[in-house]
Amino acid sequence: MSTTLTDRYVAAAVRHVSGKHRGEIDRELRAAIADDVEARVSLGESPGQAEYAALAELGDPAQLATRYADKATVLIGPANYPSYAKAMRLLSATVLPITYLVNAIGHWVRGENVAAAIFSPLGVTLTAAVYLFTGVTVLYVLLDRFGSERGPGEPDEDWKPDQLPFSDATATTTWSEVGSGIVLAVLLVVALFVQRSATLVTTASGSRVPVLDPTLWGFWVPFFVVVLVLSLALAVANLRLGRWTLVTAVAGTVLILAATGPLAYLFFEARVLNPALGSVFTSTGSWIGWLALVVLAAITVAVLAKTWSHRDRQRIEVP
Amino acid sequence: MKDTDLLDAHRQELWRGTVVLASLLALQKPGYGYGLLDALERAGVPAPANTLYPLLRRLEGQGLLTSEWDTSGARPRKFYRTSRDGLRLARELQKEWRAIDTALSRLDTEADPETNTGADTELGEQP
Repeated sequence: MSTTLTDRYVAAAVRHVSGKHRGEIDRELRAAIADDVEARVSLGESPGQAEYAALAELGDPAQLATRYADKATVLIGPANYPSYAKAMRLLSATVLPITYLVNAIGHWVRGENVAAAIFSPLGVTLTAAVYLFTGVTVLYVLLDRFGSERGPGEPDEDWKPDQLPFSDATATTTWSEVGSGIVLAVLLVVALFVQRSATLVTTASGSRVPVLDPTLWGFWVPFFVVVLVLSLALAVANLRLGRWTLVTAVAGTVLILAATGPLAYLFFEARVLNPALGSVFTSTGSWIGWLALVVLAAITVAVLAKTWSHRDRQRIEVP
Repeated sequence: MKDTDLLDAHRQELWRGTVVLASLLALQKPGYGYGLLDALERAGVPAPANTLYPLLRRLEGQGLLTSEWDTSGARPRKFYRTSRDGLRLARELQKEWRAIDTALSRLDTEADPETNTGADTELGEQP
């Protein structure tokens, strides 16, 4: 049995139509094409020419299929695309250089030559880039499909002027910030587990050990993961509210103090890094402890300043 | 050359919304896909086949058209017919169509400069 042009056309058009409608559309299209061919033949065209012309007029079967499907054929609609692009830029600019540098330092510390320290981390960085791109894209596709009740690309019907961002747009929580935060949090948690088994760090005696003190898993690691999850939940809540309220500002303050306070204490007590690494890193009051204290204090001040200054500005703008 | 392209683009845009109304009106008498295409073309309504056929299915899905396969002819054909809801909608759209015409005539200053000056040119006023 030979396959006609019409068979091929109809097959191409209904290929992506869901099963329920496929048979019906197949039948309908064939009838319509046959009608057109018949009309052309009656005007004097040869059957072959007529079939060719009829199909040419129907145009690209893929486009016809989209019109039959009547649903979104975009992965990330215009409503979320800008924040997707922004999150991608933000994460690429932070995660990838950090991944590269940490690995390069790791190679260098282990006494490899300069060329190895420069080129070996490229592979790991490339892998990280692939995971990052896939993860962020999947996250935004899900957000686009299920993030709101409206379909992809449709405008917000219930939009009110209250939803306008404040003039200082960088100070409000945006989807790209929350998206980046979620990706970073997932990477952090994965790193926590990975460092237990697949560590790059070796002791002076040559055995491989986790970077972090294994005793932390009893209480502190779960505690910090919970704080992290709560912080992300707060960020999502902020996104919904569009501004800081007294409750969210207090909650934000409690969370950042709950994260940095114990962490600073643990660093100062030298209980963060694995004691097996040697006393340089793990004696009380070592330079690593002091450095961690300074960084944590700076982060705390920055977050608190952002939270409360933004709240003050709102109070002025919205009497 | 460029002007005719521009004109075509805007004309298509203008006609696009009328295909639904034209189909609902034409299918008060049952018709099949290609027949309707032909009828619309003869009436001067430009409706490409690859938008009309999916449109008919969509209107059927919305309950504005009913359909039935006719297997008595040489070839089975799917006949569409405007439902009662479809006809009611078509009447509403026709009213809308006349409102558009009225609104445009009112806005067209060149056609009648007298009526389009002063306070009676309030936008959004319905006839």
